Amino acid sequence: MPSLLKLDNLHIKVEGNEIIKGLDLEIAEGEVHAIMGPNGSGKSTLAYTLMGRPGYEVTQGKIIFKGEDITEMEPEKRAQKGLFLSFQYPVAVPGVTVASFLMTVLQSLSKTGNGRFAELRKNFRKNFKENMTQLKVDPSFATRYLNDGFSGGEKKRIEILQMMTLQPQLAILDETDSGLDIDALKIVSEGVSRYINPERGVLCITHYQRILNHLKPDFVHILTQGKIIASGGPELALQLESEGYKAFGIVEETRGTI
Amino acid sequence: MKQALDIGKGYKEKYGFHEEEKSVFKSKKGLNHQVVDDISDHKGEPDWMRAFRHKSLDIFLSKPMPTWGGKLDDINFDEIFYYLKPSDHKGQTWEDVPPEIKRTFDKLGIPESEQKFLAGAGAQYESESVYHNLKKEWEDKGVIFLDTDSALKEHPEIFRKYFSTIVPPDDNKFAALNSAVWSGGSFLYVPPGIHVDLPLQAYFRINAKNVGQFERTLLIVDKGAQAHYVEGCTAPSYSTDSLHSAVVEVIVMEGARFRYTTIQNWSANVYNLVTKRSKAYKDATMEWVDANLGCLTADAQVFLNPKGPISIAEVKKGDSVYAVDLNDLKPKKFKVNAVRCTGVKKTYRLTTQNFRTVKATANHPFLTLTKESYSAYPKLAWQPLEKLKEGNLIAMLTALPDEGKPYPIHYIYPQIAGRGLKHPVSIPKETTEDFMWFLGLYLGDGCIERDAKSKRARRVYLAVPPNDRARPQLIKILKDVFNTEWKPKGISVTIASAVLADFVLQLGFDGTAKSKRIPKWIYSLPLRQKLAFIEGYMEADGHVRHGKKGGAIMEKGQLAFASVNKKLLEELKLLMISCGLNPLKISTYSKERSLLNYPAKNYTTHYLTLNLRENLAKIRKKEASQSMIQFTRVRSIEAEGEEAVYDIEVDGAHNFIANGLIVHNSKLTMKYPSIYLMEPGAKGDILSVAFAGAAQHQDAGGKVVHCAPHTSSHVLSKSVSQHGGRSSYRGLVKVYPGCKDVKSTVRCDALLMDKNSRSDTYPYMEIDEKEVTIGHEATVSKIGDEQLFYLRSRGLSEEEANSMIVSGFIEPIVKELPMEYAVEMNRLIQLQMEGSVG
Repeated sequence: MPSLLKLDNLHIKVEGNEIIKGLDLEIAEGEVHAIMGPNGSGKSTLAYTLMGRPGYEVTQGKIIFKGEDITEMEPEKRAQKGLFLSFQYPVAVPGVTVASFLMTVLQSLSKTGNGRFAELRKNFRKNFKENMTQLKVDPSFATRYLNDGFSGGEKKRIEILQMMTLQPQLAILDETDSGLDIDALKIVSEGVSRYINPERGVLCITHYQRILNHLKPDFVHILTQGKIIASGGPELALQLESEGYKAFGIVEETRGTI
Repeated sequence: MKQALDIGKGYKEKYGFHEEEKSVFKSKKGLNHQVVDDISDHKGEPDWMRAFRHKSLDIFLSKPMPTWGGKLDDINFDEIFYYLKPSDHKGQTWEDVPPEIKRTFDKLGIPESEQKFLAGAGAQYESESVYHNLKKEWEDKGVIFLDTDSALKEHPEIFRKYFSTIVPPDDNKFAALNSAVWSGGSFLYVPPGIHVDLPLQAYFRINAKNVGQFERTLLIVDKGAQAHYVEGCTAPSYSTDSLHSAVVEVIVMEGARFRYTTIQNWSANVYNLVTKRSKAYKDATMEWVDANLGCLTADAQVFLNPKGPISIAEVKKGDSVYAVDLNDLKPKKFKVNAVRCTGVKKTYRLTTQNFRTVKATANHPFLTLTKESYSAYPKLAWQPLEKLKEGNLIAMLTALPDEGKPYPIHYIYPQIAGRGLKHPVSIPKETTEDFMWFLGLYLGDGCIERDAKSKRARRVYLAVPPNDRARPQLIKILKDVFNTEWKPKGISVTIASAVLADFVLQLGFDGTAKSKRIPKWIYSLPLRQKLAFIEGYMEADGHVRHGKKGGAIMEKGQLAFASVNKKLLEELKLLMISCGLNPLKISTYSKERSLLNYPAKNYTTHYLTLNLRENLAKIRKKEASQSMIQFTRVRSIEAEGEEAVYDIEVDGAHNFIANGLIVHNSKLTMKYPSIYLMEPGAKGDILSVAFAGAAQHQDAGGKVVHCAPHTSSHVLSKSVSQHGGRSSYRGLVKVYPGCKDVKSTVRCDALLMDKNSRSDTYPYMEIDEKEVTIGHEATVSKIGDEQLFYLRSRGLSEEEANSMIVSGFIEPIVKELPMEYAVEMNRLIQLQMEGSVG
């Protein structure tokens, strides 16, 4: 399988503190990876850095996406290449409706000359409606201001709606399960499962195992103190669920995620 | 320094500013009953108005100065001209308006926009209205749109019924002053049930110094009628020395709907003495929509592509000007979206170390390089002129990009029938370096001899002596380029070709040594041709001189251009800047001399100097300089007089290059209109948008007074602060006792684009009734890194993301505006946001 994402001895500093301290990871097309870890282990830092958030500095190692070094690339360029981040805390944009937001984004993306986005833009209306139905998002959300006054669960659904609209090649889901009730979790997971195909990959970052029951990851990694300390199949997540982080010698850190 | 560029003078002559002597009547300075009588006599007013003025003056004199707004004591009421009549007649058609006044308004595009999207328009110059017109369609329906003086004469009944009912003379000292000496303003009456669906617009302009402007606007919308009045974008601004005390009265009758929009206005006045008040009766709706845009100087020269530099006042919408792309700090072409005069304001002259100079208002931002501390990394920042100090680094242009093309020549000699040509000459098809060198030489040393009778050009003279080093090249060019013969005459070279002589004139080189100018088309040439032109001129009027402090001539020497024609040197200086040369100052020497036995005469010569070492080689070798922005130090900032100031909006950049310096465009400010809700069912809306840019402080707000039960009001104030700007909301909601079931919501939203900007809210509530619903909500949002990153992660650029956030922020107001204003507002936002990085 061709490689989608390759991280080689990645070190990340935020505000002078090294958060990720030598991380190796490779995701091939068609694979679903899960990264689990306690609070403060560096999960969100990793997600932000992969998407290119300013201030998140790669001090060592490289981020290779589809064979290309994107370590220094701007976030919008990464989006153009087919990378997507579902935010743990999506941001509100009052005055801009969900539909016009996504339309503007597709317009901007198709300006880059990428025919894929032009095609998505052309079929926007139809796809958008279908996706809303699939995610059981009320049609009124199309004309509501993006994330403005949405509940936590609504925000997460809209994140996945955005993912389905933009059809990225690699989706990073940063704690998409948090804030979702059981039904919502099921709908969202189904959405993600439908999105997965042999050319796409998912990196699911989570604190809890429950979303993995739906997503069925191919690989599970346990991240703590900026390093992956264990990797394995889905059974690793189950072990973690039943025995807790303590079984892996991890004391839950108190530092919050960034 | 006194002799530095003074393009402003030419501007005044050109556009008729400060044409005080042209006024047909001017009252004496100071205010007394005699002045009031003079005004009334002059206007031929009815007795009741004369009595009203006298009574108002008594009230004015008896009222103490208001204690708010500290500096009011500085107003010297004896130093003000209270009435100035610029013209004897008022125009019904645009052609009737006196030419010098018309020119001013033509520049502002008034007749043009009137035809396009207005139901009617009025214009006021000094104290009197000079033009008022209403489309026939509305006139036929009984709509009256006149200047206030005419309305008094032509519609005395309606006028007397409503005049001064909203703002009586004893309301405040300045309302009394206005009532005593008012002149001009707009009068609107919309009969019952008539809907004027196009906006009516008025323009105001003040000209002379120390003239108070006291316009009186009275707008009446009768039962069930609807109208929209727009205060002109070119309304005047008043310096601290002038006094502006307008009164605007608006009456919205039962079931009527009226909107008063100020899309642009002038910056906040030290004395905010304008009383704008409206009353809304049963079930009527009154809306104020207020927004405001600011200024750069009047006489700044802007590099226009491909026409060369022109005065900012002459720039038109759709022109391309050079502005700086802040991403790579290179000058590029941008389209002009709008040009506007923003009034008469106090200006300052900024001069740099290398004698670039520009006049601007105190709040006009310049691009600077600043350091927060000694060791800090320098940062680019917009700083208002008032914050700049000697020695600060400000951005200047080194050269424009070399995007010129040879100028195509289509010349046909206007031959007189039956007469052949004695001296044939070939005319080139387009400009070349040799040809431009020739024109440069002609500019300095050439002249045309004309036929004494027919005045037709006959011969070209070039005063190039036989031993001059330019002579051999001149001879060669005459042969190579024009293929023509020449003869020596005295020390000069003469070409007896009427064709060549006429051709030179047609190219724009008419005039004498004192009046020759550099034609604008030269700016459209390739760099090498422009430099050849400068070289040719250098051969004629240039010389090398030792530096003042001695030293080797090539190191410390100067290249000086001498001319009696200062304008020409000023134009040459701009041409040089566009070519990447670094001209310094223009100095002037005057000397009294007597030649032979003639009486002594004063001779004045101007010198433009350049550093020899860095410039001579560039001219000779025609080297291209890298087109970019450099930083130079501020040499001095000096106060200048008041002048009309201009601003242009540039598409895609929010700066432009004025006199070779990079300046920021546009500043926004706001006012506080008020609404009195008089009867049940009346509704009042105040919508305002404010932008506070670098080091600006914008105040926005409004006043709503509920005088009846079952009335409602809604105030929505949106402010955006960026680059360290500050915005404030200041407003009052008052509910009188017994006004039950009053609903009022005040919402102030502030958006901060960066950490250095700020926002404050000062809501005042005076509620004397319990059964009311009053809501006040204030939000402050910041464009945080998180929000920006969120949008960028989806594929939007930083600029697109910023723009989206701001558009979304003001969306609730924009969607309330009529279409053309919504478009205008959105465009304004785009302009404010584009190029504003982080």
